[in-house]
Amino acid sequence: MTNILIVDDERKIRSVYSGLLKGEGYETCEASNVADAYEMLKKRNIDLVLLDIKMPEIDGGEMYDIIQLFHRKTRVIVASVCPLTEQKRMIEGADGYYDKSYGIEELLLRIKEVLDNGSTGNSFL
Amino acid sequence: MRLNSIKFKISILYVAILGIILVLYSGILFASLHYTLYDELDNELQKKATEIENIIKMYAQAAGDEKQPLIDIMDALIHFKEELSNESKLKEIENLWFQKVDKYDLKEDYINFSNYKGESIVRSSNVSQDVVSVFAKDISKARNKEIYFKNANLQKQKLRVVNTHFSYGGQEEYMLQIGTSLKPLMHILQNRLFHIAVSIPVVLLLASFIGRILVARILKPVIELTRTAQHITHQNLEARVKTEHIDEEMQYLVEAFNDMISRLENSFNYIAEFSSHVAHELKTPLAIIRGESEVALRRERPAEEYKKIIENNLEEIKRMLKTIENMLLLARLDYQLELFHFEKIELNEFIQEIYDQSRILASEKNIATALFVSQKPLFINGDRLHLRRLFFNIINNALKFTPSGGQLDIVIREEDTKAVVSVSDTGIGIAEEDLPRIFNRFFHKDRTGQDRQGTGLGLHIAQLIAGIHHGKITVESRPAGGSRFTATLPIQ
Repeated sequence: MTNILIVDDERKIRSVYSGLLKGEGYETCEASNVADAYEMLKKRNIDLVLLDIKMPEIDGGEMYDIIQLFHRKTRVIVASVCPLTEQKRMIEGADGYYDKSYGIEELLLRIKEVLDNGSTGNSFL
Repeated sequence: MRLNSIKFKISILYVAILGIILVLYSGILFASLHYTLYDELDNELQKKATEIENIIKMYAQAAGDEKQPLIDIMDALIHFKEELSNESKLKEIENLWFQKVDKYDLKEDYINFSNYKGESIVRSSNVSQDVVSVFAKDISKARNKEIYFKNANLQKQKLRVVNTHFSYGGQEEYMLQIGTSLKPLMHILQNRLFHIAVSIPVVLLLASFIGRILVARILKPVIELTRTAQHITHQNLEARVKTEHIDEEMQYLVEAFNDMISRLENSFNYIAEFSSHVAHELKTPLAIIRGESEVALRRERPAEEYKKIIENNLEEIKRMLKTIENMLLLARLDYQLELFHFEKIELNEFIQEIYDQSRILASEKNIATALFVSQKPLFINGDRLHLRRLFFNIINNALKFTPSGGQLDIVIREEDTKAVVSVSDTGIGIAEEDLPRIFNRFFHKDRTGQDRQGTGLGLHIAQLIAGIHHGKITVESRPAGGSRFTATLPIQ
């Protein structure tokens, strides 16, 4: 069973995504910030992290935590309401990027891609 | 060079003025030279006349015994006859005479003694009858004057003539006329005139070139400014005009111009940033609405669920509207477009009203409240509408982050010249590292583990309003230890 960790400070986003992913057969858990996410990673066996990044600023500490996440070789999809180009500029090396305003079909597609291939090669979307 | 251009106008003006000055100046100098030359010549003529008169008188007196007729003496002398007599005295005078002749070059001059009718009595050999007639013209004028100078035109020559009176020993009075050539004098004057006529145009030409160069140099900043202005678009606001090597007056223009571009750049940046913020802040609620709606539509659901989803969406819609309202207020505050109507407000009364309204909200969340007013009335100068917003923002913030069963206290007091309103809660508190940032724009309490609520603008707007009232808002807080927001306003 694939375990997805949803990291977002919006309760409603977490609940929507959680509901959606559970319906698709994934297992989900939630964290409202990166520090907590990191803790959760230690406790559970997470396959994929859906990581909301705060814009316009990400402070240094948070950045560090994010990098730590990457180092754990867990797949990470960065999510935000910012355009993909902005996201890629702020966080390099993620396995996938998702613009939250694109809707749920897009999200499911992204997750599938990352889990199947390891990364979304050329995400021109 | 266009006729309308500054360069042309200034060049023409400059050259014209310079030309006039040069002509006037040269004219004055020339006239001065003219006068001086004639004056010198006249003085010389006068000296010649005096010398001739003296020699004649000396000779006549020395030869007095022999009673030679004066006229013969005059005639002999004027014809430069030598060996006039053997007598030593006379010989001496003769020698003196020839000295003078040499000294003054008298042989070149036209010497004539006329009577007052114009008839020539004694004259030098070069004086023909024509010359006599010419000289005679002046006699009527010269009669009444002690000495009289006039130019005379002969056939081949121009002369300067002096007319003086001569008489000896009670005998007849003669008019002594000496004419000397004007050629050397005229030569000098003509030369000078030629120099002037040649040099003035050359100088003016040179001046016009230099003038044009100077004007071009002065106007260079203007041209550069124009060029820069033409290249400025909203995408290219970095251009500035250089300010080194510029004259003082132009410096003001250039600096003002550069400042203007900077302000434009700031404005555009502000707009771009602001738009970006608005888009960002609205996209999250929209993402939520979209997500929920899409999920809901994936399969059939009971009516209750649909209802819940619509309610949720409505909540988010309200949130977006609030965000937009706040953002617009923010923009207006930033550019001071908001109209503030200041009036005298009694603070206790004012807060009481706000407090009463807040109690309703607080009781819904099961939070107890208390209000402590100041001992005596406190008057401040403020805008009711915006101050209400200020305090509601602070109070709502407190209520938001205080769990059920908590306490909210409002204390009003006077401190020196300030009115102080403190809003304390027993809420989750603020981390130390967040304290300096909570009044920042769009600050959401990200790292407290709490969910994002509100627009992140409430405290910021409150702080701005406080500033406009010449006051400020400070905060004290500890994580899990509650917070106290203190608004300080000057007393009226």
